[in-house]
Amino acid sequence: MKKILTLVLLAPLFFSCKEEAKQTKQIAEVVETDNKEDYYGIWMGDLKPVYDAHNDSLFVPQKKITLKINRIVGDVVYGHSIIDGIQRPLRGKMTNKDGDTVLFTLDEPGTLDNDGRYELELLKGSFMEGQHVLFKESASTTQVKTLRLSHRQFVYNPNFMLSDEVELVDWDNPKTEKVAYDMDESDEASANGDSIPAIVNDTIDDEEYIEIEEYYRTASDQVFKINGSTTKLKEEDLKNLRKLDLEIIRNSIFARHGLAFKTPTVRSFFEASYWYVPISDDVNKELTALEKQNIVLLKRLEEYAEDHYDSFGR
Amino acid sequence: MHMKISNINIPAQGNRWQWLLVAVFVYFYWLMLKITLLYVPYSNSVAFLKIKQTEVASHPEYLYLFYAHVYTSIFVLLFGFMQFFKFKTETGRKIHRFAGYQYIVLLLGFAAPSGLYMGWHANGGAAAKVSFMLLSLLWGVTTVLAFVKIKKGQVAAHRGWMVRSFALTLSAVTLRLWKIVIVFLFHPPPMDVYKIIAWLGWIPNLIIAEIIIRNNK
Repeated sequence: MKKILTLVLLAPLFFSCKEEAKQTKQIAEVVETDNKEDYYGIWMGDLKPVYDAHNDSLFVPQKKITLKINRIVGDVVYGHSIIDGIQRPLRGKMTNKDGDTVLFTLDEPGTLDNDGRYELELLKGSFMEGQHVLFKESASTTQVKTLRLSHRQFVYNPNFMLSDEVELVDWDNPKTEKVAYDMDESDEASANGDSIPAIVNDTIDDEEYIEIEEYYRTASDQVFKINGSTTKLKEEDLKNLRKLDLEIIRNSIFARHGLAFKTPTVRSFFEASYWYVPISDDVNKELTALEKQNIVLLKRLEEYAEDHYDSFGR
Repeated sequence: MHMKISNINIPAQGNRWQWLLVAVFVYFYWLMLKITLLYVPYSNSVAFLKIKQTEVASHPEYLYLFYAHVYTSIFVLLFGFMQFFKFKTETGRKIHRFAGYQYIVLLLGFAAPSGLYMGWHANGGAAAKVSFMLLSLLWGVTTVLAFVKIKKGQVAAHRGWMVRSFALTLSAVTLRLWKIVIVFLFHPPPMDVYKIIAWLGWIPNLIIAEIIIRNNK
């Protein structure tokens, strides 16, 4: 009795296996004739807003976008889009328009406000161009955006460092404070890159100024020197760093693996580096043992900096 | 029981000043207690220890001495403060003597030696190490002298050395206060702060102690 039951249960398995084998054979044939794998991979570019008449008071920043084409079965396309560190699945269709042009129509699931449809045209061996149209109208962004994507390859390299041309200031989290100093000092301070004061209010008192500043956290140049992907970091190397430095050194590790950052400040730091290709919202599986160790250490020092740097204690 | 803060000559001495001092002390004692309670229950990687894992891993004795310091110093601070109340009754004198012995035993037996050891491993490089080790040594020496003087019945000298000893005990509070001030004003990298407060934490205290002793002569 039991045997029969197992056989009955297993039968569809054999059947489906055969089916699958047949399917893959079919795909293989298609691929041979028209190499769809050529389109696989990472497409990167900018997403630009298209304003229309009734959103003239709106300002929508230009954004980086990554589009991944993971699989093409027949004419069905599977992929992902990544904007602002948010990864969305894509499903759609591709058609050969004529010999040189391929059309892609790709849809996000429609469960988030920013979901929509991509309509893209690929001129073979060149850019992919087109637009993204939101499914639902939104008050905070334009319904239509244009994009132009170029085919990129992601290759992990532990040696990449953050571009030192980027201004490492955390503009999103200002701290307010009152400071008294004279003019010379203030100039010096900003020249050093130690602090960038944005003067909100000032009272002139002969040579001394009392100012209420918005203080923005600035990273030190150590973030261009310390590499958590190639070196085993020691407490000693990191003790004199402030929290922002530690965060950047840690995030550099993730950036090398192509993590799509959700925090705007962090994203803006890395988008300035030519090598940064955001490809995934979770790269934990890709981390090397060395990187994992360093991340634990960096995180611990960040916690310490957070809890103790400016409080009564050590 | 009649209680009075003993002969420290604060200008315009009076009850109000004394109780203000007590209130300030109670406030900072509360802050210090909160810091101590970060280390209860025992953990080998909490708070300050988060940046001391190198020492914790390489020196098995570090944690024992660290905890000896943390757990005894909070009582040293309390018993030290109690010594500055003048008790006029026999019970009062007993309390003074009891608290005094506690202060000496905990300080000389645990807090100062462990402080010396931790000074050797201090963050902030040689500048901080020298400062913390010097602080521990002076802390021990002034306390020993305070004890020796009272055993010889030299009350005035005893008071003087106790003022110095307790001024150094209070560096636990003043060091942390300076840290807030310096970070607030200049946001220096953490170990740069540490080098500065290592010295600023106790030198001004000692100077103030000398001024107090001179004024009381």
